[in-house]
Amino acid sequence: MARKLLGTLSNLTVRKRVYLAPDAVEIDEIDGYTGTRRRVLLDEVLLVTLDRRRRWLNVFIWIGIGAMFSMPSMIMALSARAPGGASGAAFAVTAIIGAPFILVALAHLLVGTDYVTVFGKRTVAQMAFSLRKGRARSTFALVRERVQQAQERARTAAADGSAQPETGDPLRRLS
Amino acid sequence: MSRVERAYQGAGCPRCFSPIPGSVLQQGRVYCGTCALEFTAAAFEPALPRRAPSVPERTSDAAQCARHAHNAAVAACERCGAFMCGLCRVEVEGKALCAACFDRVRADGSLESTRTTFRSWRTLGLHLAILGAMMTPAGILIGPASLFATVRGISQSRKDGDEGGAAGAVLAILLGLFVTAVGIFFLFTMMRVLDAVPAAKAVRRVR
Repeated sequence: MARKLLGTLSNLTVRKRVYLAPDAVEIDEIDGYTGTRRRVLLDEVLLVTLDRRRRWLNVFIWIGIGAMFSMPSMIMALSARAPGGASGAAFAVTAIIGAPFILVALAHLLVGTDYVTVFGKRTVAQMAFSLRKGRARSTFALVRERVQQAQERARTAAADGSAQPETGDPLRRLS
Repeated sequence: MSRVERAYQGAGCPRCFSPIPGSVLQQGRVYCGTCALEFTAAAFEPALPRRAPSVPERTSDAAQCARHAHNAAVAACERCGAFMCGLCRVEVEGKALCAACFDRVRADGSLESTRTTFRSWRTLGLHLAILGAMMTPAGILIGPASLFATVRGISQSRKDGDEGGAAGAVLAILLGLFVTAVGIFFLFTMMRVLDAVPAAKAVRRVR
């Protein structure tokens, strides 16, 4: 039974991978090396949402990493004993090393993180898309479409009475 | 248990998880008054849960359910053979089982579709590869262990039918191969150094 990876949601202790299975959204929650699988059945979904937030932790982490790598050249540039030319070169090295990290932090600050959340009757699946607005939108549309289809099927089945027990010889398995 | 599950009270705000009335969610663009988040919502009304199957009452000549004497049997359990009515019958992975057998096979983990916990081999493989990269002299041991765990993780993913998310496995394999190669290189270098030491002593003795 194939399932497609929709997205992930991670924090410092737990990582969640969210998959779209034929009849459900499956959440693999990995805590350490042990995973727990939960399902939000498509025909029981109450709500699918899409929202954008800023993850300040991401911004601070990228700034921190940039500062860590550019710290030696920064100290050298600010050192009083460094001659004029060396100081300028050290500033340039600091800027070159730190710039990519600062740019990523700025991107996180400006673009933010998109979240797609699927609310079921008993549980919820959530995934985060950092700097990938298009992917978040397409995931939201895909889940919404699959839920609509599944619930339409469930309604049709209920209307047709296919949930009723099968007719015919009830003891055919006994022979 | 994460914050999401602890606070889960049904459909509502995706950030603070406070409940929001269905009529508000139907509007499409929703503003949460609790946490000031604005979000796009697609609300659904699932079909009502299916009614329990009606159970035919037993007539005088029909077989009776092993647990419900008043109900007619509709099938026999494919594991223990006991007659079961529509209430007792559990269809799982193409088999019809009675409730007791279903509990047993679920408890011993032999039903793949009812398993809810698993070991994350891919995570283990990636972590071992990173550990090996930090402790390169031990790469000869950690590298193959990382590769083993990653390959097992990949086969686990294939079994689950996973599509996508292979970047972590590729990274773990590349890192595992690198760590193993460095470990082998380190081992051979050490062996050559150890071989060279007695030879150097012998040269000095001759001089």
